[in-house]
Amino acid sequence: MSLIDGIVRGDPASISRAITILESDPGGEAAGEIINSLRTSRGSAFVIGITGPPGVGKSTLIGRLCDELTSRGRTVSILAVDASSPFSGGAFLGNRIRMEEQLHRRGVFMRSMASRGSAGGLGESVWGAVRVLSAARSDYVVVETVGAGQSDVDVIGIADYVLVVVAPGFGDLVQALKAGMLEIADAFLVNKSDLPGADDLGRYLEEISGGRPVIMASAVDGRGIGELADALEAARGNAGTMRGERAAVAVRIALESLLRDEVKGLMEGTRARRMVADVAAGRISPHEAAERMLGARARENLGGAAERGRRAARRTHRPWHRPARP
Amino acid sequence: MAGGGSRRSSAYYRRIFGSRPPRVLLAKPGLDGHDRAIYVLAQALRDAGMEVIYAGLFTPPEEIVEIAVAEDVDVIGLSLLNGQHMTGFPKVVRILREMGRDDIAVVGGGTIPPQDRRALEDMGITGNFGPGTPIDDIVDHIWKRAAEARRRKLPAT
Repeated sequence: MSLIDGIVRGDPASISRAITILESDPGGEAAGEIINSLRTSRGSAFVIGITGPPGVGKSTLIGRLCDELTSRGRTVSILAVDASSPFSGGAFLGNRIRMEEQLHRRGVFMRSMASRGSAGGLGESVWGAVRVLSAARSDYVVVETVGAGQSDVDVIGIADYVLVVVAPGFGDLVQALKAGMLEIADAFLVNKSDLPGADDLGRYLEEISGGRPVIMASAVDGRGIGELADALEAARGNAGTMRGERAAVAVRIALESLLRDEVKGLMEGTRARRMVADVAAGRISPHEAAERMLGARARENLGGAAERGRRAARRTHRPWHRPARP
Repeated sequence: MAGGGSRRSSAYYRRIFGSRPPRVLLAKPGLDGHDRAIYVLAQALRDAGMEVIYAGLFTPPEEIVEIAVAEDVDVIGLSLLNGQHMTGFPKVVRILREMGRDDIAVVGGGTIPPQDRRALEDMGITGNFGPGTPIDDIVDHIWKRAAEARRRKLPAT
């Protein structure tokens, strides 16, 4: 049984190995081959991004949602993204504990992914894993992330539908919703809605949501899960029209991510130190320093950029781009 | 994170693991509700640079293997403090063998008497660390087994 056959048949070991290859070297030859082979396979999963501060109950909610969607005859897969330690590079991927019972009962495929310190690269790994799970005939792929930081927005940018989960007692909501979360949310869910403060939170979200749904739920007793599944089923029904709008957002997010890396690179090295010293001494303005650095970089990069372009053209898959279905 | 940090930056590590750190699944294959030690070990492994997945309490052997396959881990770390290690541990190894998964190593720990260690070792379950083992010893052992498993996992690049 080839790897691709295994994926299409829904064999967990094949799906798992393909994801390993894609996350080990997303831009590599083996990864490109897999993505290319899967292009012709049918199946297009509706990708739900679920994000929110740590501890609001995302994993428990996803377990419940799995039960609800599978009992409606849908197939669901899960990708749970967690942060790697910036100090050791290791990670504790604990999401599974909260949903293991439902996963096992429903035969749901779940994979934990660590962020591994990458920004744009993580988005590419998740994008690849979603392609694999799509080919394995998942109706839904649920991507869970910790709502903290930019890499989250990158990952969530590839979702067809973004659900932001909040709960009472998690501090300032504005803090929780920063880093672009508010902008890319399609719906909000107030979890633990039996706790004091939940109604206030719901009312506040209604005010700022601009007509987007606000669902009051409790993952523990099941309240609101049906309503959430209804909203997802409806959204999945007109996924086609939504994808066009979302693609622009996804491309912008990917661009921003690459440019951030570029800025980081520009701030390293001797030229940056010289420019900073010149600005500190009042010889040139910060703006002029930035223009000079960009100019120098552009001249240096002409060769490198051309090579990157040739390599990208050779590469068979295009991250962020959903190929038209045959 | 004594030996871990230096090991992670070594050329040896980079050659074997590349950009994908060792992945370890920790599990308790039986009726044993004691998982404090699992959390302590999980933290030590994370601090040594590994990606750790915990299956939760009371996970049957079949389900442990199912998770190990879906997560494509290098090592399964099994712990039991209830004396059932001679039934729970071998079952995990048997299922892995039936599936032909020699790219997942199995390491044990718990209240394991010396006479059982040899038997477990013969089945390919290594370590079998008892109470009081320095945590760095466990981390080093898991590291070694992870490297062996990873070499069988992916075609050399």
